[in-house]
Amino acid sequence: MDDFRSARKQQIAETRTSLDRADSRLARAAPDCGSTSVRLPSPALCLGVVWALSAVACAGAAPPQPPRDPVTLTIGIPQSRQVDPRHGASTLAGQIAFERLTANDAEGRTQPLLLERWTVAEDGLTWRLVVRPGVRFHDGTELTAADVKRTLDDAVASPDDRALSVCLGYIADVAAQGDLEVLVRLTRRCSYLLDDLDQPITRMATDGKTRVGTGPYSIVSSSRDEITLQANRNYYLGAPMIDRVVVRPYDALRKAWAEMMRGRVDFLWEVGPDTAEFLKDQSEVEVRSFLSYYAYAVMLNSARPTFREPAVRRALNLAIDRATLVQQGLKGRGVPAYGPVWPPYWAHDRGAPAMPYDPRAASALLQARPGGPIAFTCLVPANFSILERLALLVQRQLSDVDVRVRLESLPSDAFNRRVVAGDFDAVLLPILGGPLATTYHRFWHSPTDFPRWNFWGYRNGLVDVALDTALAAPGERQFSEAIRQFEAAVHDDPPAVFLAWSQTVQAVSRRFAIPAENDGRDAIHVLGRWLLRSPGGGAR
Amino acid sequence: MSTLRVRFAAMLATAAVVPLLTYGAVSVYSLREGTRRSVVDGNLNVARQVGEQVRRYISTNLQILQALAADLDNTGLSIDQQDRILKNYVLRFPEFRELTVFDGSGRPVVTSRLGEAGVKVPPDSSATLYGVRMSPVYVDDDLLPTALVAARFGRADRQGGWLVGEFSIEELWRLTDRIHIGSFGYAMVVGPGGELLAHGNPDGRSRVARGANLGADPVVAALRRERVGTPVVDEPLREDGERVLAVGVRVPELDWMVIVEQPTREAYSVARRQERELIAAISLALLVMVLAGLVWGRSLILPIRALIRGTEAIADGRLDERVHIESKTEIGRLGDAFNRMADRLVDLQENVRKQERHAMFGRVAAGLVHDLSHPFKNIQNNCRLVVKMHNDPEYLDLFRRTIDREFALIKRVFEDLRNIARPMPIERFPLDLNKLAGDVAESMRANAETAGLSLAVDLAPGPIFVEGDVFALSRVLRNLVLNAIEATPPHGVITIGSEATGGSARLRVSDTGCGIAPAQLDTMFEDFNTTKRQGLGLGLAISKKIVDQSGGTITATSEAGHGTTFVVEFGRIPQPAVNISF
Repeated sequence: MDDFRSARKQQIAETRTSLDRADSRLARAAPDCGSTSVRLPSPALCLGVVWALSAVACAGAAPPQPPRDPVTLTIGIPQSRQVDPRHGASTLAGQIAFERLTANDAEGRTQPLLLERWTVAEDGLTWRLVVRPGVRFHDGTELTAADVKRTLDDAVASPDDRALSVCLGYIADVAAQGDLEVLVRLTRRCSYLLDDLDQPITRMATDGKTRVGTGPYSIVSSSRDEITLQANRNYYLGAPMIDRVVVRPYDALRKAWAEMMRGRVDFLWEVGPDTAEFLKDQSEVEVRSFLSYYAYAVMLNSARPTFREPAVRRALNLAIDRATLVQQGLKGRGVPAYGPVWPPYWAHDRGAPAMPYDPRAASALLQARPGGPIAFTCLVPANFSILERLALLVQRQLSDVDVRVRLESLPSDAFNRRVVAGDFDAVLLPILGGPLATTYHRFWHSPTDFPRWNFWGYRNGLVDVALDTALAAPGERQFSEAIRQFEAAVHDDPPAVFLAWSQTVQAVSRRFAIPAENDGRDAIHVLGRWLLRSPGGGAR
Repeated sequence: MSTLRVRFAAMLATAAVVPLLTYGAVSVYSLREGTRRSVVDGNLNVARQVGEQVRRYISTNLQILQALAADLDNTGLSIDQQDRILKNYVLRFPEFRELTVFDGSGRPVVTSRLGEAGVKVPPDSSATLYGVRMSPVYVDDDLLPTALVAARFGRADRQGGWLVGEFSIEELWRLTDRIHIGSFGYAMVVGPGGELLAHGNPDGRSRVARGANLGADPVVAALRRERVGTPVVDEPLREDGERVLAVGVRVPELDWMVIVEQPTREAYSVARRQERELIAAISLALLVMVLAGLVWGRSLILPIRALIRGTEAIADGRLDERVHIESKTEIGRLGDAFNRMADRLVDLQENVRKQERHAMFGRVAAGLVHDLSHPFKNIQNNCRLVVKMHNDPEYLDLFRRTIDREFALIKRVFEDLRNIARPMPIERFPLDLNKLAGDVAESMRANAETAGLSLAVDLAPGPIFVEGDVFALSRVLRNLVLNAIEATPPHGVITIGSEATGGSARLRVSDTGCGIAPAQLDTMFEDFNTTKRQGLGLGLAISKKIVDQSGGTITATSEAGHGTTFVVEFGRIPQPAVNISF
């Protein structure tokens, strides 16, 4: 516990330092000579700036700068390409406007956001959450412990939220102590608590009609065609440079892209891998990519006799040439996936053995089992060309080891119903692999007290033990060891055929510069810290 | 500018400058045209290669479709097998994103899609290439260029059936992306109707997504007019104000167009640089040539001009003029020769002057001796005689007259000498030449009669007024008459005449003597020049001086054996208001 507490303290201190550095005025004003990232100026540059400023001071006061025109950022969302409905226009607007207690860095570590810090009692049953002071909602009211308590109480009481979480069910009590402290008492140790408290902190505005958050932008209007957000001038990390954000859905990527070329869209949330290569050389658009949290996988229904045996599931994994899948299915924009843990995750075992491509070994395993060749039906969501292509590639590769796969394309609603009901042999879908550790518990732990998302009936005692250990881990070391064990158990008894982690590609107008510390992550998360590029190319 | 300099400049221009300029102009023109042609040809080659690659790419894939259709048509496969084949094909040939078999009624039979087929049979109006029906290219929702292609089945049970594919032509974009001409050049692919299918400039690709049509583009329009295989070259001005070199070719069979564009500032940069270098080199050569010409010309012309000045100075009598030409060439030798010649002339002139002085002194001495010896002899004789006859009053009177006469003669000789050395002052007044001539004739008649001659007067009617000194002109006339008397044998005639014509008045003294040789006519008015046995020969010289001082002229004409005529001419003046007579 001491190790865990000290590790957490060190983590918090490092985070606070990095956040202070990130929201310093100097970082905001750092000149950028054409690169896409913002960096602190070199000492020589600082010296030059000081000299120049002193020269100006000696010459007399500089004339006041004329007010600049309001800057609007328009985000285009091709709705038809939504794999995750959470990335629809309204969802995206909510992410911008409503913040959560914590955020995740590039390695998936939990970082303070609306919480300033937190401490855990030695027995792991009491969490003291300290709310960041000086944070205001969009209507000007101050964020207090009472708001946090209310949100957590709502989450605990919500069956949907509980279904997504692990620790909410272990919360015994949430109490506000003073204006800024919240005490959460658990019935058992749960290291995922902050992951499960990943709730947007909102309140009803004083007008009693609208819901307000604490984000860098507030929603001012919403219609079918677009959602408009206004900059929060009282944002605790500093007023955003962009005055207005418009989120606009499009039913086709082409339309969104055409609008971008016309200058009416500044940011495309997702660009398919097919077109990304043609966009990367555009002089007015910056194409950036990061490894998605989702891995494409063929989820095998372990409840079905075909997949009850781990050897069969291992054989199917051995029969897949993931490199070819990435190249042909994702046009090279992705990395092979060998397990359920997001590769950049801080606790991921980077030394874990990867599942090799060994069709001979796969055939041997399959032939060793009684019964004839395996045949099964794989459900595929309709109208997703990437999934269709991957499905065909998987089908072909499995046919090489005499596994017959019938592909069945279903509309999204029917697909979801069948998945939730467990009415399938296999499904091809993108599965969340991070950054929240609760994800692993959600998808891979055997169902216990409350519903989980383990629709494929996967049961592995070692996996359960590992995940339970991670859940109760008192410190980082124990936690990462538990995750390592989890990965090893999954490697030996894979619940699915993990195919590839996809890359999400975004296109941003070069009018804007995204802070460098956000490289490798979704740029939306730091929208409040985007910078404007001056006509000469430097960020301001 | 001197003629020599002009000629030298003309020679330099003709021999060097003009040929160099001509060569330069021809070279610049050839270079410009040659390099531009090579740039155009280079870009045309690129366009042709791109066109050929596009054609091959399209034809290859259409042939694949045809082959697949033939396989499906002829092999009697089950639906499942066809399904497998179609799915394998879309995996193996990623250009085909979907393959669907349609029956004769247009219903889909089997598809590579997991769900329902997304394609339809292209309409009858679609183009047919390599036996495959192909729809116009369009940009799909994934922003990729796509076309529907359909191969017809021929077997009886498939009559009218089709194998339709969704053909993604993204390789077309990759192909144009790889085309870089210089740093700013790119290629475009345009459809038969002007639709932009591919744009090699990443910033221009958005125009494809927006469905840009280049039908109005001059290069596209020209290509559509031309036959296949005829390239088009143009230099249009683009919307951003940049002029580009655009070359275009039509792709055979597809009827697409490939256009390669490159900003002229880059396309012709090498040519322009070479042109500038050539012009600079030629200009430098020209400058060097002109400078060399100036230097050499100067080294040639200056000595010649010096020689000219020296010669003119010598001709003007300035024998001290010398030229300074420092040259080891013929010009230098010519200068040296000139200087030597001038030195020699000075010496010769000095010798001539010495000789003339000697001659003159001799004549003067001889004349003096001659003119003075007789009077001195007479005086001497009479002085001896008066010693003896000093008591004879008659002789004393004769002695006095003789002495007076001889001293008057001596005095006249001295006066003549003085008049030559220092001209006597002349006072000019209006005088009547006729009166003067009459008076002199009257005074000299006795002298003429004594010599056995007749003195006639032939005067023009009326007074003839001139400006002159009466005494000086009277002396001139008397001198002329005396000379005539001395030159005419007895029984001859001496005539004094006058005439006035226009603004001139002339006095004439003619005789019928022996005449004067032509050689002597030229020198007879010079000092100490006489043909007489006695006298200094100053009479005519003094007469000429007087006439010159009076503003007139005196000339002589003579015919040997027939006589001589002296003419004194003055400018005539109107009769004065007050008649000055003497």
